[in-house]
Amino acid sequence: MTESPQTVLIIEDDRSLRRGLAMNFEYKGFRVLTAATGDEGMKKAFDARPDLIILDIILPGPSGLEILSALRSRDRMVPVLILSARDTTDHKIEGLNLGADDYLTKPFELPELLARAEAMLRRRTYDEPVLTVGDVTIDPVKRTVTLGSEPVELTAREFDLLLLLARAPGRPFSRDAIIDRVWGWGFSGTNRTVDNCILALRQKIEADPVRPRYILTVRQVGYKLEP
Amino acid sequence: MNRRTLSLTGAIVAITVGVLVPVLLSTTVGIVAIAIGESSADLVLGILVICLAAGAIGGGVAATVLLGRRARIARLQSDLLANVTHELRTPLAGIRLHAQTLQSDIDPEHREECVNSIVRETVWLEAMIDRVLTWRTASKDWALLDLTREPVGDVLAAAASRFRKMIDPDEVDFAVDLETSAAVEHDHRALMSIILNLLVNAYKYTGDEKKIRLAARDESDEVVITVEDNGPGIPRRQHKRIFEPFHRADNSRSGAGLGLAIVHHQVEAHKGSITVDSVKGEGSTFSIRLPVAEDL
Repeated sequence: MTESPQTVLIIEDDRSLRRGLAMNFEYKGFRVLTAATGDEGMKKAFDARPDLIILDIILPGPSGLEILSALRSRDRMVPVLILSARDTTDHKIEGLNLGADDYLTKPFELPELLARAEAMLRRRTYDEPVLTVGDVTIDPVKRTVTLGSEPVELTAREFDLLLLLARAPGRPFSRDAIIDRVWGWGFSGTNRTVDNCILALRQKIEADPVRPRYILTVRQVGYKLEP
Repeated sequence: MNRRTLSLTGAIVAITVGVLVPVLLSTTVGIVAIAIGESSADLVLGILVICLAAGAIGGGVAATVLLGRRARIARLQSDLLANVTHELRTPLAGIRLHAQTLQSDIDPEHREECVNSIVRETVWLEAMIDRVLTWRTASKDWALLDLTREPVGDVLAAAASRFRKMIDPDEVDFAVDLETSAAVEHDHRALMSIILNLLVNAYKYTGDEKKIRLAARDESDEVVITVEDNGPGIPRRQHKRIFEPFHRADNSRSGAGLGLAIVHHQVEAHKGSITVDSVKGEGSTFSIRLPVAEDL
């Protein structure tokens, strides 16, 4: 599907299930990350930028549902498959309403889980369109940016920041909103961190970083991307 | 679970309102009838209406209280069932996952791990089923204990060996240190279940790099059995409450919230006591003190 292996994050407190799933995803050629607690899962879901998350609900610490809503409230659209022993319709609806893409109950059929996971990844490549702002082209799926025809190398944060602004061209975002959406869970830096990231981004995509054409400062508010 | 709680509360509110509104209306009608009534017939009618209203209020309140209690019990029972189901489904899922992994064309090097996992999961399932059975009998009379008078070392060692079969040695650093020879009046099965319950609890509430230690020592007229873990610890204000039925350290966690309550019952049935000592971030130690049997 893509050149580099896709990353799946398995958040599951039962060690046997965690290892069994990891074994199978690795065998399918995925890069596998695992988390045994809610805190670890929350951290990896935000920091490791997985392509897919297999999520248990009942975990030590923050629950799977808390992780899911933290992700969705910060515009992290990574596909999430809930894998839970809670099998009532109410629980399924709750999970799907919070933004899960799929829900399987334990005990599950391994071939079905793998097929659903792959289907979710396929769907994702159709779902997120490439964004274009002036000469800047952003591919949210491949996580690439080109300026004209030249590829631009961005760090993961810079990319997320650009993508956030590009999804709502013209809309100003406050520094706090940017921190919340881009840095997400457990960030302990300051507004200066955002300013530095903006500076770095301007260096890379603006013809004249001192007089930017795309990423503009909105006085007393924050930043916006000029369409 | 919240949805169900809300809908039950909603039903109670609806019934209360459904009863109170007509009652208030008819009381008003009654008072108005008395106030503006000129004949004695109006007066009698007014009093009758008020009596009727008062009766209805009483009935309504009684029904609400009764319904509320039944709703609470029904909720506890359904929570218990849901939690038991959860405890059984997880090992079952592990067994199926590893069996289906074996069916697929996975590398031969993983085969042994799959088989080991399946065996371990069946021991878990067995332990979970035993736990559920203990819960069911816990409400029964504890005079049914089958007491023998001997040192507890053998039972503790048996519990430890059973626990060892449930865990992956790479996952848990499990130490056993039994230094007890004093005779204690105890029921083998009950004590086994107490210790396994505490060990399973320690396992469930400990994150990565689990360290669990089972120890026993003689102290003048008591035998002290401790189960120690390196989990997140239990806040001090919960130290008493964790032994109450349906209390759980954290609502989102698995388990029925019954394990410790039953352990508490069982220990008391042995004329012993159980306490917890815990440091946040470092771990918890459950200590059971059982009286040494006096010489005859």
